[in-house]
Amino acid sequence: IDIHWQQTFSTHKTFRKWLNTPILPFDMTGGSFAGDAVIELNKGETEFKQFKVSLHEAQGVYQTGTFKGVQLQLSSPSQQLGSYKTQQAVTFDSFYAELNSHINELNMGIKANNIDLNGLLYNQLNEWHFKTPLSKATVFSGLVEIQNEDINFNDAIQLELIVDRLDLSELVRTQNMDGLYASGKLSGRIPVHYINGQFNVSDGHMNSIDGGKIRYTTPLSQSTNINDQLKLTFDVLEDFNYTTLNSKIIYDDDTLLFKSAISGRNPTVANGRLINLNLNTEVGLKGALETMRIQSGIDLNIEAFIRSKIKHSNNQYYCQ
Amino acid sequence: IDLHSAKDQGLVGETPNGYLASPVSAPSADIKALISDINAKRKQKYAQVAAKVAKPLSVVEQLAGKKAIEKTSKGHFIQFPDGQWVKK
Amino acid sequence: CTPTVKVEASDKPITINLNVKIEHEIRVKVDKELDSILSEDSGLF
Repeated sequence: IDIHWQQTFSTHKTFRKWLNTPILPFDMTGGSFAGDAVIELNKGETEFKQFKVSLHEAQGVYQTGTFKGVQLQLSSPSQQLGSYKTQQAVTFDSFYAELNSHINELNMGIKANNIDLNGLLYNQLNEWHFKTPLSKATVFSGLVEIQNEDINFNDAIQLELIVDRLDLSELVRTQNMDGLYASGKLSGRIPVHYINGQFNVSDGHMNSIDGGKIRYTTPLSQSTNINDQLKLTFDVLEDFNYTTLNSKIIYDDDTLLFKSAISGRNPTVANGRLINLNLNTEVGLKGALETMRIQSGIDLNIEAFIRSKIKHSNNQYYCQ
Repeated sequence: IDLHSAKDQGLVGETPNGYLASPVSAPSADIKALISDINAKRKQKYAQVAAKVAKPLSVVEQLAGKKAIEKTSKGHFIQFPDGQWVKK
Repeated sequence: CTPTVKVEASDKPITINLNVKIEHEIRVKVDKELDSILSEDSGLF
């Protein structure tokens, strides 16, 4: 059997409504989905011979964010793909398919743009793998890349994010803390571990490329009843020009910690003497992302998606 | 007409952005006046809260919308993000 | 927060240790306020 399909989506005719199933963890509300599959049926065994799927200008929503401008092609070379034993989930003993995809924007509170996700999706001993020579995205006007990674989704995942020239001012602006401004470009490496549903980072690091500024003005700094150590700190931070910034990144159980060693000077403090600022910045990541989602207005789409529970009928899917 | 009976009669409902609106296509003059009066007072309160937590007004408005819709009693009108009016 | 500052002889660098915690529980802070604004006796709900 040679199956072809082509479907375009809208806010009223979404991907999940079309497939009449709520089990997909995402939905598509725009763009088109096409594909064809060559299947051989013999005596209770279904073999996928060939398989090609593509998305064009797809947009939609998932549990914690939205995506738009997705061009995707997933295609397998024509040879025995895998067999499907009746009454069992689809088993693929030698499935592999090439993935080429580009996503204009993924917004989870923090925006990732121009994402290129290319590699090989394959199934080995019933475990799904994704192997990529290079996948990348633009975040905070800088580049985040993964190189030569082979991800086994059934096992603990260890990925190294290679970060290049993130713009510190954009990063700080997302926290919209009144009176705080910082500039400079940060590069580094962040090894991310993922194991049974939890992310953690134990020794990520980012360093400034060529220095920058930190300015923090608060009405408090003018008040008289603060101790002189705090007064000096506020004076320094009024116009702190740093030459080096080395930040160690640790993330576990929703707490993101930047342990930064920053050295620089404030020309008007202690006549410009060198200052070593050891700054520990702790952020509750889930709360931060949730606030950023509310601020960017995407939380309404997410809620509509979560609310749209589609009650599919008794396990029968009709193919018109 | 007071707000409570306006809601009882389905002339006024809560929207996702924390303000009142009317599900009726052509609300009467006093309903419109009631809505703009209450919305103005709400906006002033929201602005105070936004200043206190140093967050944009829009964030407080959206949180207010969620709360107002949650607290709306059975039989009163609420509006979905896509503009559809529904009785709770 | 109480940063610790060591100021030594004039040419030595000044060291400042500072811990900052960025709280995002705005929902909690805002929640109480909105509860009173959108309540029976506020006349606005």
